[in-house]
Amino acid sequence: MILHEPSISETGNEICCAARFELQKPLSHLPQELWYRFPKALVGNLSVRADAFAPTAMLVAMYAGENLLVRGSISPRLAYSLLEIQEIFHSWMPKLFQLVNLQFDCIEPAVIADRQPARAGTAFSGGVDSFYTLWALMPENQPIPQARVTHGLFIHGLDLRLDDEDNFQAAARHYQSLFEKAGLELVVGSTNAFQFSEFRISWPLFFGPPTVGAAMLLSPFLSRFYLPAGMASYQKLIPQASHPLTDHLLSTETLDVIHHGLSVNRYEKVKAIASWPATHQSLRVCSDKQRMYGLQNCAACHKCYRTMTLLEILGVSQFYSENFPKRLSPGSYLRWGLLTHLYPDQARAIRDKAIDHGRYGMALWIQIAITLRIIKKYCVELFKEALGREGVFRLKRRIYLPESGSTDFDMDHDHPPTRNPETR
Amino acid sequence: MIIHQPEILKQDNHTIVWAKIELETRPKNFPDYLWYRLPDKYDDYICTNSDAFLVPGLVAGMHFGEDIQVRGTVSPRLAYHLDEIQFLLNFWMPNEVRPVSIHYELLKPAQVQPQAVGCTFSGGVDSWFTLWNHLPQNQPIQEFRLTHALFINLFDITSRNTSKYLRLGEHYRSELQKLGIELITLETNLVSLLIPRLRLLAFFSPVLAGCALLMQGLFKRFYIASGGDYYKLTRRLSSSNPLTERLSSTDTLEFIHFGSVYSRHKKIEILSDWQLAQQNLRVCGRPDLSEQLLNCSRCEKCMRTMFPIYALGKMDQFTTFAKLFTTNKDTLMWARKFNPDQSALPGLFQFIKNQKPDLLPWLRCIVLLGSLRYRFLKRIPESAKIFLQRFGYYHDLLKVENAFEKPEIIQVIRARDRTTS
Repeated sequence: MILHEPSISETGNEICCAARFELQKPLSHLPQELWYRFPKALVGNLSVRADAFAPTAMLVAMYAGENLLVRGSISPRLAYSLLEIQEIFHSWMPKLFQLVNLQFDCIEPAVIADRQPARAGTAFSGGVDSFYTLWALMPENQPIPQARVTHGLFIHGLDLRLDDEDNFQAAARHYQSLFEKAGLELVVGSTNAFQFSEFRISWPLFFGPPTVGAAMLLSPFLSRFYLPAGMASYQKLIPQASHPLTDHLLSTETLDVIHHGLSVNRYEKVKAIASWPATHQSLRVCSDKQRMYGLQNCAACHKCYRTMTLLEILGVSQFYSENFPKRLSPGSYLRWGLLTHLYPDQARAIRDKAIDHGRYGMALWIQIAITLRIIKKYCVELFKEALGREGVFRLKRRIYLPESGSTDFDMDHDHPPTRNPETR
Repeated sequence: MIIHQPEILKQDNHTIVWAKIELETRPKNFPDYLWYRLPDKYDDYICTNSDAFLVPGLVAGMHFGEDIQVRGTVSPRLAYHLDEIQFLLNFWMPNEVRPVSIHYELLKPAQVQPQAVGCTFSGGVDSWFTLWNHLPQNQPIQEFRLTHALFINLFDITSRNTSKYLRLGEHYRSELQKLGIELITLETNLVSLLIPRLRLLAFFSPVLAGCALLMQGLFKRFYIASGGDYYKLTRRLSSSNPLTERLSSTDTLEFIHFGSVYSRHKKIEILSDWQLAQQNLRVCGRPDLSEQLLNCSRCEKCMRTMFPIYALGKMDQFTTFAKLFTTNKDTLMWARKFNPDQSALPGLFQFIKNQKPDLLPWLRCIVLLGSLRYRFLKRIPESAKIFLQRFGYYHDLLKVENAFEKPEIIQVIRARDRTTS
């Protein structure tokens, strides 16, 4: 596989940075180009280097089992670390990620003249982890000036479908004003990175490098980038594309990548952000992107249930009633276990907190949901084993609405068509 | 706990960088001063901010549960990460250390422009492997090639073996020179912060980090060789870990925990054809080893190293082991010292299956007998161990007074401290 030299082009009010992926044996429906788009105002602040694209390209090359040749300049620090990242991903999922050879055309550090110091960005999606990282790194909570966050990065295409423009804009407008009130700046951009993993590599095993990629493009003005930790705690480290073992390895000479917030569990995070009024009616945690809209969560997916139960335990759910339009009921718990991706470890931690707060009924229902999930997972694994990797890919494309390579969506630099809201 | 501003004094072509440490509680055997001593030709590279004293001092502060006041400059990047380090150490070893508050007088990056790439070097498997990987012929990225190595006295060599340290230092200096790597010899009493209170095996990493932090004017990048692979790291909790070690990085120095993706037997396999390693490997963990020997060939660490070498059929090429394994039966000796926590067994079985299948039954015997012995010894009560000390057993030579201290240096520092104060 060849990762071609990135290029920058301007389209309308946006600036697009893209790099072509050339596979020896092309994979069906895989886009030919990975791109990021930012507002035109950032034109002088984008880096045209392979740094932003190489880690994502490496994951694709490992999936395809092809050696990777990187054209364009790459940071020596990143080039060195890619080998370690590769080994870690391979050790997690040896069948999914094969070891491949990496070759680099040009290894040289970026030279940045006149960079303003102390500009730190954080990935932001409006979820519990994002808000906690933002809260912990605000000047009033972070005593070390160099570590304080100055920018948020809200990237369309990482957790929301690219053709769901209305939904994204509704959230972006709200968060932009929230950042402004806090004296910070929210940079809004977009990427098609998700399409490289769609139905092939589970998104939690892929999203780290493309997210950091967006920050790497902005490294001429960002010197530090925080990735809010999504895992429950150090005790429960699971293979995930954003991980304390791997995130810092994505650092370059000019950008320090930090996995933030793993020393604090989800209960503590929710407790902390609930005390920050700016988050009230602003929490956006939903994983069901078809059913959520703007800041309104579906209140029926595993992430919604997880957050709703914690808000309920803490007695602050009334502050978030607009974000979660439904109330928890016995049916919710059954649905949580049977029809969503409940994570048993996380649910057990919530169950224990419910017991600590004397919510025994809730604890019992959570336990039922966990048991249902374990039975369901076993059956699904058996089915997947029988279908094989390509079989699962084809089946998912039939069942779900694919984003990559769909006939109504052009992979070139043009904007994706806005999705009909009725299909939501 | 107060960590005072570091100071410098000269002694016999050497420079001593020291800082006074004050604890509210005055425990026995706790050093009044922390010091580093190194040849004065490296004076230009010494960084006199407090980073080099704070990182190791933090472990002592956490052990005694005393908040730390740092009277000196600290790197902002380091200061930011110290909370995470504290969380992790407490998370893994809650009975030994707990989080404390740190108060900084001044947070400011060191005003240096380092260019060198260094690593700690003890002559062991991990050190040679780190070295081998960062030689120009094996490391394509120039910025990551090694230029210097640090050989530390009073770390795994006690003060009574100082002459051995000097002899080894000279020997390794000339050997590494052939590779274009400069060996820097450095002495420090940092280990006396830990022993006899804390387990050296669990808390040694801040000592190594401290030595590199002292030379922030020289090192822009510093490798700390990993003592285990990712599998082993989940079984043996230690401060030397890919999660924690990098957190000691400062604004100008980056720490890299190197080698976790390789198991010990894989490292040995890679090194087994390298003559320099064959002739200089020093893995022995016995502090009372005679001066002429590099390896006792009978301790747990020696046998853990010799086993894969024997399986590879390279035993006779490694000249630093006095008593070799010559038959499969000889390898049973390992059962006498076997420690299941130190061995990445699933990988080792696979390795032996590939390299020397006829050794597999012997390995099974070693694991079975060794584990039984290990569990039995673990159950011996403390009182019985104290009784057995009369007969020469359970003597910890690392806990002998001044094993990691040089009273003559402390005297010089104390005299200077009195004069200045």
